[in-house]
Amino acid sequence: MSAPSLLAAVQAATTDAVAFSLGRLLAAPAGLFRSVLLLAVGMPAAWLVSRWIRSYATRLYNAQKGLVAGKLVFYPLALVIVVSVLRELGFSLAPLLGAAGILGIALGFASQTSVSNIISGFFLLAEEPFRVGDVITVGDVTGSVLTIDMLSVKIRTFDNKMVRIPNESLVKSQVTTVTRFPIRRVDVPVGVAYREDIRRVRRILLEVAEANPLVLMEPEPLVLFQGYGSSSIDFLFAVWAKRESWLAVKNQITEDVKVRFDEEGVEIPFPHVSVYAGSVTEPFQVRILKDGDE
Amino acid sequence: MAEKIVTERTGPGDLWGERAPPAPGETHRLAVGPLAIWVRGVHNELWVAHACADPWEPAPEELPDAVEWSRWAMREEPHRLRVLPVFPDRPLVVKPEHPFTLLRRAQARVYMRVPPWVRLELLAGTEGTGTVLTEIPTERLSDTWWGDFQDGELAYWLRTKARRELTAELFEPHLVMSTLQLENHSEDALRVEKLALRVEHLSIYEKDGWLWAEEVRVEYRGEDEGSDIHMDDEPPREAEGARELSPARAQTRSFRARTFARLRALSGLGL
Repeated sequence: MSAPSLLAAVQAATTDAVAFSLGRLLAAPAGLFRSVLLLAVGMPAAWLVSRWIRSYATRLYNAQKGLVAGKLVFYPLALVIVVSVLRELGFSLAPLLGAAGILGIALGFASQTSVSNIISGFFLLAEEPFRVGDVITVGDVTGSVLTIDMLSVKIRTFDNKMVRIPNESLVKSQVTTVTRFPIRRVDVPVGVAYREDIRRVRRILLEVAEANPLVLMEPEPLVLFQGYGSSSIDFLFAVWAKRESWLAVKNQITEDVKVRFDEEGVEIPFPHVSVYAGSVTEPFQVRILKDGDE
Repeated sequence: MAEKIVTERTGPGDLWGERAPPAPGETHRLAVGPLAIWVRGVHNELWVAHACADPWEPAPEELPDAVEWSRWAMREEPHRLRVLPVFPDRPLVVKPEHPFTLLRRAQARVYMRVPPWVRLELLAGTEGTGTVLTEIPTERLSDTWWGDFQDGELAYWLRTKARRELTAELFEPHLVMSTLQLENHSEDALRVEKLALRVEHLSIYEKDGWLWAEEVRVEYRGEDEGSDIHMDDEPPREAEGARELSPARAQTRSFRARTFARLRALSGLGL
């Protein structure tokens, strides 16, 4: 069926229904009174019931599940009230439902993306991969979740920009919830010169961790040997911190390592290349220049 | 006019309790273990600063140059300053000096020394309850985690070990001696490698200048059931007749909580 013919069918069905019901309505003013009463009492009642369900579910589970439960109650109730009002007004629902079906098809084609976002929004609320206030990473965007709306999630990045991400994209893509768990690991890659005593380096790093009160004593700090690098022996120094202290610990522990290594004379090498002349060639000639030499 | 500094210390001499706040131009120095607190009167304001030495070192004598003052403006009426020891605001995790196994139906008594916080309260007129100005730890304890990677609670890590015997050298005037009565009510032997002491539920008592916490009874019911914890609401038998100095932060006297660490410590890798 083409779009103009669909539109004509909808118009015809709606006109029939409206013409039929207006005639009845004029004949029965009591219906008008009952429908106003239904709206005036029914909608606030539906709102109150949904609000009670929402607060109950919030108490029982959390705010997000409460929001979903409230909406799941309110919308069907509102639909029942609207249908009842229409009946009282004398609207014949059969042509209207027919029209709604045809209209639904037409709207469906036009609003696929919006509907997909709304349904994705429900999935997000029900599955709860993150909550309002969580820090999430989606693609190359990291920020704090401001709202989870019907069509999109709005996040505030740390340089204070608002990013709107359609719900459908969130359902389809990989989302990392940075603040989901109460504790986080801080990883500090550390490289020391080949001449350093590995056991001494390990002991110093563990002492640095123990000296910082924000570093959790459990899970225990860890010094993991990573390998022989091109210019250094490489370690992963991993400590744990509570979620709120993660940034402070990351800053402090890096500074503490450098300060302590300097105190202990442990060398952190920069990348360098050693050139060997080989046994069959003459050694490189090295001349030390003094002030005034050319 | 030269500033007058009055020094007070803990010990069998008494620091805890009420006193007049410093008059304008006067500074009081309170020394509690490694912690020094300076309280200064300036016009109608009370200024407080503190500095802390390493544990087991004496408190700093001199006011550091870069000290940060906290200030409170008082009402124009006589005030009293109350100094109290209080327990930290989170559970403490402690290791026994030597891990031991508590056989089924067996009991053990352990002793722990806890560095308290110093609470400063200001009382106006004849008020009985004061305004808490500040609480300062006598020793900054390291954070630790009591639970698993997804769920648990933040706690402090106690450097001192839990002991099975109470000896004279364990006592320090600024440390609170806490007594734990462990009872294994499960059908399995219990390996005691680490304990969580719920200090928020403990009051502090004083006897002969030494600080005590009320006795805690821990009834272990099994790995899944957790432990029943009961506070006795009176000093332990080792400090009979002690007077209560400060009430507990939390008033629950009996509850169930996880007290013993699982045998497998949390891996630093997060495995």
